[in-house]
Amino acid sequence: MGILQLLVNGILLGSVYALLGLGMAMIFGIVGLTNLAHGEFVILGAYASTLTASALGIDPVLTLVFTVPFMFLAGVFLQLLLINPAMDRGGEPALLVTFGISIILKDGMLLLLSADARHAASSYGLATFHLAGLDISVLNCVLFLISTASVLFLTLFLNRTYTGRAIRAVSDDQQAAMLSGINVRKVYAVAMGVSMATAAVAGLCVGMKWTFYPSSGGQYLLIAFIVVAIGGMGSIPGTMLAGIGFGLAQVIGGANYGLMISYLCMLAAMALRPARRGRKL
Amino acid sequence: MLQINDLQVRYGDFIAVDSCSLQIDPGRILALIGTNGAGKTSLLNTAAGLIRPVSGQVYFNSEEITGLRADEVIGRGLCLVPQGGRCFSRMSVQDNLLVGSYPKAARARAKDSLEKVYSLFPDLRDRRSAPAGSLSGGQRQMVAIGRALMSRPKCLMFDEISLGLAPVIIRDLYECIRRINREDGTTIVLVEQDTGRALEIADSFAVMLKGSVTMTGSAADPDFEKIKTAYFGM
Repeated sequence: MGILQLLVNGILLGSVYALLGLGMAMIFGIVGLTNLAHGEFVILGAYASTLTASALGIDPVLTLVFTVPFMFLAGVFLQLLLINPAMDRGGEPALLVTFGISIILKDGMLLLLSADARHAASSYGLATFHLAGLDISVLNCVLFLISTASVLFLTLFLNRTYTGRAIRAVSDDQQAAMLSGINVRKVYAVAMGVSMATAAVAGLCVGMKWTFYPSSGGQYLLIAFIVVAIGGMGSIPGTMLAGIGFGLAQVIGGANYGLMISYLCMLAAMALRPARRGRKL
Repeated sequence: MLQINDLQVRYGDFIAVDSCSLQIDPGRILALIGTNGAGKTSLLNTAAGLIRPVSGQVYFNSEEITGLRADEVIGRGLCLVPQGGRCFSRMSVQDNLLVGSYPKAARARAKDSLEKVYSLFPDLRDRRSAPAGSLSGGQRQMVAIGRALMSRPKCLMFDEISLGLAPVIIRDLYECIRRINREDGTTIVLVEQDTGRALEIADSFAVMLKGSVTMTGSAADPDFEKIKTAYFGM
């Protein structure tokens, strides 16, 4: 493969990784919590899309109409009923709660959906087109459009709406946000809802691109971690760039060296920019 | 307007506010003065809903607001500008102000409020897309006051607004506070360490020492000997 071909593949895939990281970064930056269940949320999204698509006989992409609102509401209630009360007792209990949620989801999916590999098949899954001497996968383009659209939508939401501004205010200075009339617990709930909605979209992408199992969550949690660590913990442009960088590392390094290159990038990012670990959204 | 009855606030074993009572009439400016650690900030934070008192009551507009959350207190029209302003440094000036109109009742009037804040602080209009963190100390304080005004408060509490600012800037800010009080009839509570400056603009004053109010009076003819005794406790 030529260098240009690698670049294109890396960038197209990188947008999916960016979306994985973004959901994680939101909770990290706003709620101040490391959400260990994020990988399971992604797999839950993948199952929801795959099952809905085959039940209704529609293209997997269309299932977002159902899965995004469902995951958003699930996130809101999860935060209100489980995580907010745990956070009153401090950071560690809340971290343990997310760990518990991750185990329950993983084993729940195993129990109900079996350990078989799944895949969200689409009519264009293997199609490619030629452009300027490059082979470009239609599926990768679709995933790129979905992820980029989600990131743009999220950016607009955060910049243009009262709720979005409240979310940014809470991530900037929580007490000042309270003094501006913002109910912080409600904002946490919305942030978790939005994070789970991004996991629904990321899950669809994962399900369409690769096969997945109930136990695949850990692998995507790890990717989200790496993207967040490289991207500077919660800035949207930073996370986008980190995702694309990770995508390029995966494509260039292939199955053998992809992960190693990503880890090295993460270590380098953490060693070189300790000051950029502040919250930002 | 704002009435505090026999309030006690503790941080663990430390009693910050003790059997403290205070009353502010509508439309007036009250200066709350006292040394470091007298409990002024704790009193304001409790009234604003950031801290729950151990005992005592806070009434606003003859309704009890003791123990309400900060966002509920703001919804009733009582707003605190915290020490140092605390604007959202990574957000633009205009976004900072718009956060202030987050309470439901304030949203419909957000456009008017924004125009009003910009006419009060023309500097902010020029820098409305700049991140608040890039502003000078005085301008950040303006953003904080503007953000509070966006919620259309009936009563505004300022915690040491002059801290670390140049005298010229402090004078301007005080002039703005006086305007807010005169033009909108907003009740003002001013916490200050600089007694002289606070008394110049206030209608009445209260002195705090070791967690309780030791003296109140009219700012028109203050008895400085008595104030000194109440201030230092000797």
